[in-house]
Amino acid sequence: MNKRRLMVPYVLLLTMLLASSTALGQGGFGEADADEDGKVSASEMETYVSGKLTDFDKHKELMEALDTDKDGSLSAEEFENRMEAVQGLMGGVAAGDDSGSRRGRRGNRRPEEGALKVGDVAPTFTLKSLDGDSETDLAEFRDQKPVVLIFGSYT
Amino acid sequence: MNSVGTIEQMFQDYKDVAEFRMVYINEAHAADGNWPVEYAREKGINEHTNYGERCTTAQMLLDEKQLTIPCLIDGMDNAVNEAYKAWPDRVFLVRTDGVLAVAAARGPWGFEPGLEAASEWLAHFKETGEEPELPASDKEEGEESDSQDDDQR
Repeated sequence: MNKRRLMVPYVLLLTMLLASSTALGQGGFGEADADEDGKVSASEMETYVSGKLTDFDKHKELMEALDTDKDGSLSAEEFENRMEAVQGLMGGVAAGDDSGSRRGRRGNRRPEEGALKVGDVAPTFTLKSLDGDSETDLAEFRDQKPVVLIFGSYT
Repeated sequence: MNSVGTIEQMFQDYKDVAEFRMVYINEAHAADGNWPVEYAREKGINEHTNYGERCTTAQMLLDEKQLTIPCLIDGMDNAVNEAYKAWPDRVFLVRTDGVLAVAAARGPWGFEPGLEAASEWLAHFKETGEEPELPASDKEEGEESDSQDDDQR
């Protein structure tokens, strides 16, 4: 399957790019298999992932996604798919619909419609500043300065 | 949010040549949301029910991480978040012609590559005064694999 052939360079590329941030690509099977029985159990996987992604708690879903032969543990081969599986779980929330609110549907893996990419025109908007003293209208920077937008939250 | 030190540093380095705005949106890991984390429970951070709550939590972030980057608050309609498909966190760079030069992947996987891409763009811009050319291919800056979302089952 095409996906399989793409997996290895994809995982390597992700590993390189994420080396400075999450370490899920580093430390392999040997690190996860704490009791060295040749397979990674659900609890070993949870320990392993929690040590690398402190705010990931979809361990049950991750095990289900990775344990393709359903024997309750992960072989080295099943374990190899962890990065794609985690990313799939993280990217599975349809952010465009409900922005991650509790009404959102978990595990929705529909590709994002109209997802923005390089070369697209940035949607204009006007928002108030935190201190309430000013407003920013994205359009006012046209032909003036580039704008870096960082979307995020406390948690 | 991760990488806040990097964000502040980038702001300090390039604020003379570019505008920076943090856009505070709804929580990534609210205690009563889909992706709760322990410290959200400890700090009682739930989904914002009104604009004031969103502002309060945003202020917490700025205070604790000592960020001076200007911060905007998304309305409770989450309109800007949705327009940019930004949740949980995401990095963009808008050129002076209004076109996106950086549109990183959402979430932790794309965030740091997005910051790096923005840094490189800004470094070039600051040195040469010219905005880098957009890449010729469809590949996004700061996103390592296109159509990875389309591969999701």
